[in-house]
Amino acid sequence: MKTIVTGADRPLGALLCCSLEKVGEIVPIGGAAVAPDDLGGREYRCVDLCAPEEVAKVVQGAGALVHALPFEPPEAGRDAQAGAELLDQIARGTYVVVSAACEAGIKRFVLISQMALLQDYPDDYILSPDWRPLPRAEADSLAPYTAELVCREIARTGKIEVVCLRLGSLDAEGGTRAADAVEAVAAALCEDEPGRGHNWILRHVV
Amino acid sequence: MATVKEGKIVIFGAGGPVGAASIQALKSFYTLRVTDLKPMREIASQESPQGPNAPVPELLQSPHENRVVDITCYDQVLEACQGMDAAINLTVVRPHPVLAFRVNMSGAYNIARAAVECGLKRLIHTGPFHHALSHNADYSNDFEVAEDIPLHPGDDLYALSKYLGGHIIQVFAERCGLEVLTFLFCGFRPRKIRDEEKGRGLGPFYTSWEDTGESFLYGLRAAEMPTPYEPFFICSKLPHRHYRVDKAKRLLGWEAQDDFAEMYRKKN
Repeated sequence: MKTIVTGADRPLGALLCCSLEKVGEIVPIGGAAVAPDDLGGREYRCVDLCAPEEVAKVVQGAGALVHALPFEPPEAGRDAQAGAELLDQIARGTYVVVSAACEAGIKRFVLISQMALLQDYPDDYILSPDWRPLPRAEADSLAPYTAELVCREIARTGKIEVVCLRLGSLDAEGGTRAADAVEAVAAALCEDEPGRGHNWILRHVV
Repeated sequence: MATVKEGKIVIFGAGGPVGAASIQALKSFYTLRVTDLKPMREIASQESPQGPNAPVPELLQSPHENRVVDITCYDQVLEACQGMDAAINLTVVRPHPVLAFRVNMSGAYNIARAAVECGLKRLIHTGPFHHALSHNADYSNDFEVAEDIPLHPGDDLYALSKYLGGHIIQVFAERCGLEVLTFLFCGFRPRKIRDEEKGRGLGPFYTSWEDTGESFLYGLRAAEMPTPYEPFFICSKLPHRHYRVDKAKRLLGWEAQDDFAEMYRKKN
């Protein structure tokens, strides 16, 4: 199965590209013009996720897609205009990618989001996907939230099955072990009917 | 106190028919800063793109102000919010694949952020409620639907981008102490019913332009809301019983004057 991985120019995306060989051919894509060094020789493609024609071309013939960019989007910081542009890049990019995946007949879509969406609950709460996300009023926090909303609502139409994995900071204390992240993504790609009737499946990997 | 009984109001996206209706309803009670991407003078001189039955904004004179504001530019939005008591967001782009996100979502972010930065008392945000979206999770098969239900925009560009803007504004409301009323609309029509329209039936979610304009006056003047983010159906009370409209009556004191009975009753 050919699997597209977005955000391949960032640490998690690159890791997934090098670690998911069991699932078949991996196609790393990212926004950086220059290919990263650490993709294990896989051919990298620079793709603007907000350009529907570019995305449609690259997803042709793919069986699955791992959308890792929302886990590590570019930082907007405190600048308001940069914040608005980040939201546009992540939300619209996700909309373009999911729409292209639906059009190309991709059946399995894995979204990588952030556990940080729940970071403002008290530390002693036992959190699960049943808890409502609490994004902050900052673009860096809202960006992965908008990616989740886009995928969830499109999944609800029945056109595609989306597994959303929320990860903590990789290999940080209280975060997500990189090996566990890879294993969770591989499982999400290979499982039969993970949602038992639902097209949106949300999991915490911590 | 978030109630705004007098003072200065900025309206974003005022060039459309909802803007025209809101200007008529508010101009005698508030000093308005009327903004749109196009100059209001140009908009006021032309027929509405939505046809001859849709209202066109009146070009206001001093002490009101007309200003060109690009909602995607934060500095312009911030400047437009300065010195205001409340804001009304009527901006919308429907079919354009890029601008729909920039206006409906990032524009909402810009307004919410600027409203917080300027200490505005109240923001009235607007968006669509789609009766039918051609997927099984829309609400076209349900009845007595209340406005607090989560929207299910599906993959519709307009519905989804507006939905994201609403969620972002809700986060600012809950996190930053900004009081937001979100008015959800579906179908609009003129108050006056033409002879040929009588007895031809009416969909379940309609409001007249005139009632729409009045709803903003009630929204600004309403008492403090129970929660920082409150959505409302702005809809005539219609006998289909598809959508409930009692929340607007309860919290805003607003209810539509028009019931359009001549349209859904058989013509003698």
